Amino acid sequence: MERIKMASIAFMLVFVLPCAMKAEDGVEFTISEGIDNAQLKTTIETNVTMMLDELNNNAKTAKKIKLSQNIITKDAKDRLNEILESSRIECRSKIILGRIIKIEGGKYQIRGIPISIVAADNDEQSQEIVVDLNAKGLISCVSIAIGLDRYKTLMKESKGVTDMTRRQIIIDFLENFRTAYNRKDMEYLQNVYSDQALIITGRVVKIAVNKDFAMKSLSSTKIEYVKQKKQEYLSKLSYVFKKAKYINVKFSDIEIVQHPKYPDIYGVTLLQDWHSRITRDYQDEGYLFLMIDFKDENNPLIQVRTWQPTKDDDGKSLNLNRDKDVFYLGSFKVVR
Amino acid sequence: MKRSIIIAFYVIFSHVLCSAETCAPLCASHNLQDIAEQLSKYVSLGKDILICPQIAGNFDIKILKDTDGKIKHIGINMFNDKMIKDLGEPVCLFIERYLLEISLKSSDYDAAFINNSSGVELLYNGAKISKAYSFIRNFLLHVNATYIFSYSNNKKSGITAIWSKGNQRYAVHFMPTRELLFGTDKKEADDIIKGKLTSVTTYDVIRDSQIPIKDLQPLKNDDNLYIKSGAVFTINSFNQDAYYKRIGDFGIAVFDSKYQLESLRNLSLGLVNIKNAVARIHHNQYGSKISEYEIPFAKLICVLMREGNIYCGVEKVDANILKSVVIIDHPRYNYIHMLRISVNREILFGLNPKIDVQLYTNIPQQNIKTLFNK
Repeated sequence: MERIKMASIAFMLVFVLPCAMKAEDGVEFTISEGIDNAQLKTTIETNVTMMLDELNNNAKTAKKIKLSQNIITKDAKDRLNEILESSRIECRSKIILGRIIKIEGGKYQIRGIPISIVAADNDEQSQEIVVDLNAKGLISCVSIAIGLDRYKTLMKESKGVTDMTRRQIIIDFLENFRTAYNRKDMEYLQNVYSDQALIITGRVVKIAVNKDFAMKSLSSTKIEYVKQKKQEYLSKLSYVFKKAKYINVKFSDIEIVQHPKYPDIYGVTLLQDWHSRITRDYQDEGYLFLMIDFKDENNPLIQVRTWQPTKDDDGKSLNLNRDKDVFYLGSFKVVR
Repeated sequence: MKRSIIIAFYVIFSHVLCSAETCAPLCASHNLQDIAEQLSKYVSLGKDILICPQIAGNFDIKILKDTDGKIKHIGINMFNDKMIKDLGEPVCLFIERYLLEISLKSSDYDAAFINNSSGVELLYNGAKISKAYSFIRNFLLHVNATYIFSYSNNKKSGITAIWSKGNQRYAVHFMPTRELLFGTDKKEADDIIKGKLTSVTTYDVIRDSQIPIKDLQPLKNDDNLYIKSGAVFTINSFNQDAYYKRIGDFGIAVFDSKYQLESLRNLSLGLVNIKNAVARIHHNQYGSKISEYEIPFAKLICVLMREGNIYCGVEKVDANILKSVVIIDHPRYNYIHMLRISVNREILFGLNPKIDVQLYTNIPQQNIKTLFNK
């Protein structure tokens, strides 16, 4: 009995056959069986065909999908747009034969329309969509057969390549930035700091923090924060460059965080080890935070630079907690 | 008049003295140039092996030059061929150069900056020695052929080179990074890569990869397509997976417009040879400098692949453009090169394809805590 039931369900399920024949233009969706009402059959065939054509058009041109409310309901269109936010979808078959099944509430469903998820990894690109239609033949829901969660996971994996590439470009930028200090390259530093850059430098003092200068409430009350503008900071740096025989700056423990609202903005926190020799050897260590705008990937701009010492002048640790005490993306408001 | 003659004499004398100090031949990096100039005060640098006991103690000084005659290495001649093979040439050359660099200083104070900022630890009988100049002078005067050389090389703790005899044990310890080992900063290293890619260097001919079918996994959706899964770099999407088409009992690396992304992946991994494919390179170098040049695509992959492991990921693609990212990882010295490849679908499978490559070179990896923090 159970087997018969399963077989009937399987039989009832729509069978979609991508045909080898090639249509002249666009996709041609035809219902092979499952519906008697000729007018409704034509409506469904027209609506599904138009939707598939529009998906292909979107895949080619990246233009927003244009489907009227005579073809698709607003909710279904919203859901389709949600799917398209992660990747464009193509229907590469030219002629599709589909079976239709009746579902609850007088609705219809077409399963297994073959599509390609353009941005997915190679062996995950070929998937199927399921289209629900209301009693009038309007598309009421479009979903990926694998489920939205699995679909989003797939997209995340593919996005992983783009995301990691960007993060390696950031590491490359940081290495150039560090090298500029070692080479005393003022020209490069002039170019990478935004003209409006906010620069905050901490220094250890043995008196209570002057509240006028306190930029942030930190657990250690021995750090005084001084806010500088780009030119102020760079002219002081230029003086150090002229006086120092050698400078050797090292970065370690680099952490990269993407801004949750502005994807081109990244926060980078790292440990900076500075060695220089002017008349005597000088060494300090501190947390460096940079907020970098990668809107122009070839010309990233530093919008914020903060430095917080980890040790006092006697080399005693200030016990800064990296997660609690060190500046991070959330410490600053992005104004665009 | 008398005063003018004295000034003129002083100027000429200073110039002659200055020229004598900077008569070192041209070197491949600032670091080498500094060392060569210091050394030329003691000995002429005309030969490949120099004898200079006041600097090198019991050892010779070794000079290596590149094909252009530029000095590419100067150091205390410490290692024989077997040691170099075991420990790796960059590591051995670094130790040789470092010992010479410190030995050329005149005091512990003079050597302190290099020693402290390099992160190299010098140990005598297990105790860390801060007076680098004294340590190395002592080392060069005492260590000889009767000492036994050994080393440890650990990914986490770094490299330790040890010379011991009886109860005497000298050790040099450091974390291997590209900058430390090769003695070049980012600008110099980027220029070296550009030089390698644009010079008339020979490179291996890429032959289409061929693998017995039994070593491949068939793909679910295509009877004729097989996959060879490979190692992963950092995230699963960057890997060495390659695609093959069955021909008899073998799989041949696929390059076919029917399998576009698979073909691009195989091309990116250097598994297929596309005749006349040209890489149009946009080389992102130090200082926001972008050098643009065209070379055979096969040369690009072969030259960069020589010392590293290659991985590929496919980026989000649109209707006409295929995109991949190649990482060439140098795990021993903790740096990568990265290539962002993009090509029009039709051009890739046409005659004489030109492939755009954004090239990023010498990206350090040892200083990363986490790339993907939330």
